[in-house]
Amino acid sequence: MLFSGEQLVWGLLFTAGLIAVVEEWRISLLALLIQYALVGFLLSGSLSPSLALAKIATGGMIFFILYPTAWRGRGKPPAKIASQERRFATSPPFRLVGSALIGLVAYGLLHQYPWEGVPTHLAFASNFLMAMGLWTVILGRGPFRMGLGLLTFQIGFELLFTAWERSLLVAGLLGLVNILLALAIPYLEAVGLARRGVER
Amino acid sequence: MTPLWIIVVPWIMAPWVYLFRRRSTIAALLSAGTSLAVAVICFLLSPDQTVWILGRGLLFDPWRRWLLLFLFAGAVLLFLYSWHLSQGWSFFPFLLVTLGLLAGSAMVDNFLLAVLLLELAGIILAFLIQGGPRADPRVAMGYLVPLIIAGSCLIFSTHLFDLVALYPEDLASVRLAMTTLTLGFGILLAVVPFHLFLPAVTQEAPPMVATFLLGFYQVVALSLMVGLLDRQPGLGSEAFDLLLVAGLITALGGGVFAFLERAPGRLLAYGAISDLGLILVGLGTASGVGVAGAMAHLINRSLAIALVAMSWGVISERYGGQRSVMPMGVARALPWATLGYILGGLTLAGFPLTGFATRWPIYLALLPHNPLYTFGLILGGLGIAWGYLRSLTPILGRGERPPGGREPVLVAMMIVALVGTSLLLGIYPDYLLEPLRNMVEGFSFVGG
Repeated sequence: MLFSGEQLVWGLLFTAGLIAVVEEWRISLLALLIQYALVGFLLSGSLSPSLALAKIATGGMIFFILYPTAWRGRGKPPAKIASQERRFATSPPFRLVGSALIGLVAYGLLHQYPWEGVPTHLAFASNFLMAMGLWTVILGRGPFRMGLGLLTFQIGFELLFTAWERSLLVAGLLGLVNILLALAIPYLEAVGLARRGVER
Repeated sequence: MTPLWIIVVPWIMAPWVYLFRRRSTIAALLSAGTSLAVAVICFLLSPDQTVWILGRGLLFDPWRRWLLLFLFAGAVLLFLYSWHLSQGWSFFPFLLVTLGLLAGSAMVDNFLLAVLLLELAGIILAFLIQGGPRADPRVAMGYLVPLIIAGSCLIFSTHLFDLVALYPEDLASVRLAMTTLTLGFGILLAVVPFHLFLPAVTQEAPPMVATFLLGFYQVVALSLMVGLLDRQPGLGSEAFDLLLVAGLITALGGGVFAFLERAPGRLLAYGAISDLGLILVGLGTASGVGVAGAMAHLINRSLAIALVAMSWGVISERYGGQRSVMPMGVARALPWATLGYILGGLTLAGFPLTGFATRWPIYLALLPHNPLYTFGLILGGLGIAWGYLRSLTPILGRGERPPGGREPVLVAMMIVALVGTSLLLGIYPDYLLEPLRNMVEGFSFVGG
């Protein structure tokens, strides 16, 4: 294998951190795509190659579902929201410090509740992704950012659950959950953009 | 005929309905016809059948038969209502897909798959909650977040219960399994304090979508919980104590919030939350009378929710105004909608001759536990009644009425039919309670 399990986990931590800290849509979306690829590689050891490939393909589909809406909403946020954000503690340093604290919590949880039959590095990555996903949802001010957080949460959850449940049907339904979620996000974001346009 | 048709028929029809989504007459009639056909299939199929697909069993027993019949018959009303009062362009096809998923979730004999199907149905509901460009998309997003968390918690719990079965002495796993299960169902059913997302959803969503979410989706989620209680006797008496306490807090909390509320959508949510608490209390008693009462109240609650939402929907569609306050003095122009709103509110509050009849068995079952608990439930109902009284004041007032129209005849007829059914259930509850009492005797957790 090209990368070891630990290296892939570091990659996951980095991409989840990027999604939470960096607001630039291209970086966030690319980080999400890489996250799906890393999860696919990470699970290729324990799952059948076709199932691992299906996870990567799901990530690719989600990327292409989200891209057009993200591109449409690439402009700066309205001045009202931007000024609120400057005053509010959601600046990059705050996000970074918050993300680091979330990482510590995920690490602490790993020792408090060790997951039965799951390798430590995989359990940590899963805890971290779920926690960072929720953190991104909390920080997100619109459907797109919140959606990225939800998808990150789902990736973390699937990483853990796939270690326990390897049924093809369950994997397929979980993939469907991801894709439906990814379809809902651009729909809601598009409505938000339209409303913002009307308000302007 | 196989029970598989109950799931497949709505999915087959959904693309056809989608093609006619802009022609509300065709879409409504096709959707209502499909739901009616499936309801008839549910009625005609003999119960106690199992179908195997991909190694998984789909059960069709008497309990599921009545649940699915209720689901599809109720959907007929929602589709017919939406014929004249639009609920968003995607309402007809998407609701059909959701109905198929919910039917699958109710029938599949595997908790994990049932939760996944329920989650999928919930995500599709987010499209319907948005409805159109008018609503704030953050509300639908605020619904998706708890849904995904709840789904994950419930899916986790399936694995943890497998661990508990293997290592029953592992207390950490037992505790974690119970926690994830409680969190999952707590969020999914919007039990206090996990209810915060629901009032905003019912306020912003089209009225029939709110009805479907509160009166049908939650019923399937609750039936999943009942099925789990039935299959997992190892959950022990702690689970029922937890249900009792959570139900009491929810019933009382919902009542208090309703007491403070005037916005019709939010008031409907708090009323429904409080009544759900009452149902949880009924289940928590684990007695034949209490559980049968809970099931009867579940049906009565759904009728009341549909009645309030239909009436509120007509009033706000015809006379608009602010969504947070009812328009002034419209009672004379919309007499049936006003009647429906009053009676639905009274049913949710548990007034005599309406909702009280199905509350009574729960009160009775609760008395041996602690009479104060019963008092708490009554207090919750009074909170809802006060909320509706305040919300009604503008409609009944004599202020200047904004320009508007009358109720569509079909909608008025549906409201009258629901009013009649509600009153009938209030006066002759035994017609519902007796068969339910026989049915719940089959549950493994039901005592004397």
